Amino acid sequence: MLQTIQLLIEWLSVLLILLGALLSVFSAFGLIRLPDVYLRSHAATKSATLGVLCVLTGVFLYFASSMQTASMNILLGIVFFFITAPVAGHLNGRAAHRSGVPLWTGSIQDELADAAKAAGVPDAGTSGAAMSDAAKPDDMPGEPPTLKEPSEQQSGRQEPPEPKET
Amino acid sequence: MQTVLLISMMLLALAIGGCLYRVLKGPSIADRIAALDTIGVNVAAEVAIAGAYTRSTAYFELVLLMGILAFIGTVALARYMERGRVLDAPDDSTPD
Repeated sequence: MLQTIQLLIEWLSVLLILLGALLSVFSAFGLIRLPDVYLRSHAATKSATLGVLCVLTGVFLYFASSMQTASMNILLGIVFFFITAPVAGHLNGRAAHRSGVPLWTGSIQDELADAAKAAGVPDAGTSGAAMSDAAKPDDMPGEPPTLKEPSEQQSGRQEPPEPKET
Repeated sequence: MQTVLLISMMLLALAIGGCLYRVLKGPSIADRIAALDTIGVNVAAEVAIAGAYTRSTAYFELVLLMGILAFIGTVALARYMERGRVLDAPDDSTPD
């Protein structure tokens, strides 16, 4: 009886591991196929996190049933991934929006740019000068949009020598 | 059971390869950062499965370590992309 339960739990954990690996494959597929940074981070953050949580839960059950060791490292890893993956995705998306990575042309809403405009905060989002640099989000092999160089810097550097000469 | 674990490891390797494609091709830096973060998470899962496959608990510190390294790397790269530097000086208060 105990043997049967142990075998059952082992098969359950192995199926969880397989499910997690499949979710990771789907996440990589979304990362390749989706057209935009923001849509891609949707795939990269959520389904990859669920995949790794499934894998870690499966490994924890596998070791608990077959070797009678409850690994605290795996439990800590589960909690840590659950907390940090949304934070990392959010930081990455906000940094992309602020440094002027353009949205997909099919996007119909940009609430962060609207909120920044309403608050009077300068936001590079979609109305900045970086839009003309990198117009199309996709189909640009290996050409990252340059991080926005402030164009005032050049004119500011050229002006100071003049007062010195006079 | 070992066969299923092996298949899962191969699937995860496939996922890492797909993320690597996005790292190499991705048009903006944010694409590369997101793909690198996903690669770190997938490597942690792969190491955990390797531990289950070899029935050894020696790999489990590496799972936590890969998670922490992927998170810190993502945060540092995102801050660098956003502000041009990683750490802010305490007294220099530039408006973002």
